[in-house]
Amino acid sequence: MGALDYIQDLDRAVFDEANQQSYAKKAQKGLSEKLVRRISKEKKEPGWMLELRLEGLQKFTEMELPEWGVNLKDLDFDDLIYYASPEEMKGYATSWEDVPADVKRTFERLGIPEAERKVLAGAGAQYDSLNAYHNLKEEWEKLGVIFEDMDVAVQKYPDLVKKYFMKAVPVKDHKFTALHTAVWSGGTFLYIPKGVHVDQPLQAYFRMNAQNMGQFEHTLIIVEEEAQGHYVEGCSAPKYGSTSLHAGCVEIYVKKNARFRYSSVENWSQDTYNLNTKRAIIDENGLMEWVGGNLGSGKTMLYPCSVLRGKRSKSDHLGIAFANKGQIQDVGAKVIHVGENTTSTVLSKGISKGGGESIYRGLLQINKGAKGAKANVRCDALILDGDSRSDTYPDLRIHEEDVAIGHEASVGRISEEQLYYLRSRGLSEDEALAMIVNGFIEPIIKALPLEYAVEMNRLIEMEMEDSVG
Amino acid sequence: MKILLKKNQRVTKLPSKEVRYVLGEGVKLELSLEQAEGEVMVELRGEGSEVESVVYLVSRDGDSKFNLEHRHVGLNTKSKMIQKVALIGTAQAELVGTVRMDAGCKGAEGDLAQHSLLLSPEAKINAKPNLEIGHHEVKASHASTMERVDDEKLFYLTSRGVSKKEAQQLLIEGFFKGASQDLLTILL
Repeated sequence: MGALDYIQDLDRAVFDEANQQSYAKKAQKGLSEKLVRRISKEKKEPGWMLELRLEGLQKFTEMELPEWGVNLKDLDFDDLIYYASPEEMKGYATSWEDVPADVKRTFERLGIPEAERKVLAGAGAQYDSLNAYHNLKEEWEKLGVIFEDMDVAVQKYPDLVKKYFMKAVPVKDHKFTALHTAVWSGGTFLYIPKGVHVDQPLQAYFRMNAQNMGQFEHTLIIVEEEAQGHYVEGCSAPKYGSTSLHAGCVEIYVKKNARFRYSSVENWSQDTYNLNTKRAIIDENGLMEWVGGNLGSGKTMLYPCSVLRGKRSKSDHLGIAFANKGQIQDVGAKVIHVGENTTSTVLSKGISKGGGESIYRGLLQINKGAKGAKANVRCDALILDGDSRSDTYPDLRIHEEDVAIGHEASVGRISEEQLYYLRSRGLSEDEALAMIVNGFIEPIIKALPLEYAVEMNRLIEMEMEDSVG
Repeated sequence: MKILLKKNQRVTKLPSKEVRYVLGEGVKLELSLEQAEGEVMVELRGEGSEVESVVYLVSRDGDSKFNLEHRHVGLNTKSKMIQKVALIGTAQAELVGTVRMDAGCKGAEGDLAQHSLLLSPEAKINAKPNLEIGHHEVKASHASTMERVDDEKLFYLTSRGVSKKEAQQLLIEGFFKGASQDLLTILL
């Protein structure tokens, strides 16, 4: 039994009930104009943000569910809590003592520091992390970097936010961006001024608020000309008490000659629909790097998108998806070449096990006029046992003749030869499998900051336990 | 239209539109589809059956759509698909190739390659090489490339005294190696 199988076996009744009762009584279920107005009022937002929310609500009710991808028909929109105010959330944070032993053990195995464990389990305040956070914050502020809670940013920097909010991802892009616009709450605002290079990865964990359910977070990142930065989001342990729908949004603007890397490890609880939308717009000679790991969550539809608007702009997508029992990971990358002489690469690795389904769905579009475009897509999949499956649906839309495009994919199982070689050197079957899988995903892991890479490796090891070859 | 092929059966003049081939045990099918339209499916039902398909599509104008699926059902089946499309003028094409492996088709090997040559500024190609794999003891791969007539190769030929027009012709003929003469005349 893998350590993460506790998600199913754990008797969450006690843990959940305590939480449910404390906030669910006051927080309403279902979506309405009244709720949207209340959200805006409680956050004391400027008028234009309320207008935008209402527009989102309108579009949400008008738009249909997508007819492709994961089956979303079981989503009951009336049965979800879309927003709970800080007062309602007070009972949500339990004390560390109440966290089940199994859960504590997982954190130990993953090597997650004590302070982070408490925040992840919804227990304790972020006293420890707040201190560390404040020190770093002073350093960045001297450089003019703004790293703030999204709610606070709307208050403090309204003009800056208004210029970019829901502009990379339009409100009516699809049903869930419309929903997001209506009920978004919390998230990260990151602004890196011209010419500033932020060398240390900025971590969302510092921003994590135990009182925020994190399901409709909005992350807005603006990297001015010549600037550089790296932002890391997510964590490798599942989030507890998460509600069943996550429709977040990430918008990133990489200006002329700037470089930015966005890394995220998403591991939600089993009963979750993870329907985030992530998009970056890259200007002349800019570089955008996406590094992502998708584990956990029952159903995921996630396709980070790069729009290569400026000439000579570049994007690199690196992604791993691990679909375990009862999970569908429908993920991929979208790249749209607009400017001249643009370059893009996509490297995607999918693993399915125990009946999981791993799907790569990608778009590579070369607009007319994107002369000299070069693109390469590589997606590989490993199916680890007889119950699992893997599908690949790349869509290549080429409207320009002066291009060089390559796409390749392979699907298979772990080679018997490799397994035999390792076992003949004394490794157990599980150890050998884990080592081979680690090698399979290595190009992506090595792009993550060290502590995340270590956590990811351990996480994969745990997912691999008892897998049959 | 469904066509059932059994071992040692001799078939000539194979249809190439809206047809489903079902291959019995040990059947090896070679399909050459020129200017194909609509949908064609080859089901590798019998143990050890194999298919090798080559698809050529050339268009000057209009909107062409073609979908070829190789479906692996039986044990130890093999498939290979090559799709080559060249578009000039205002032609637009949607080219879909699917390798599908159903649960139970142990030992299957499937490969799909798509190559597109865009020869004019107005031409547009929408290529979808799909893999749907429901069994783990298999090998499946696919590749898709889009290119233009290679400047370097053009230069090499013209520097040897070949006119630019002739050089382009030669390169396109090379790209479509194996296609019939009728097809090439459409292009050149």
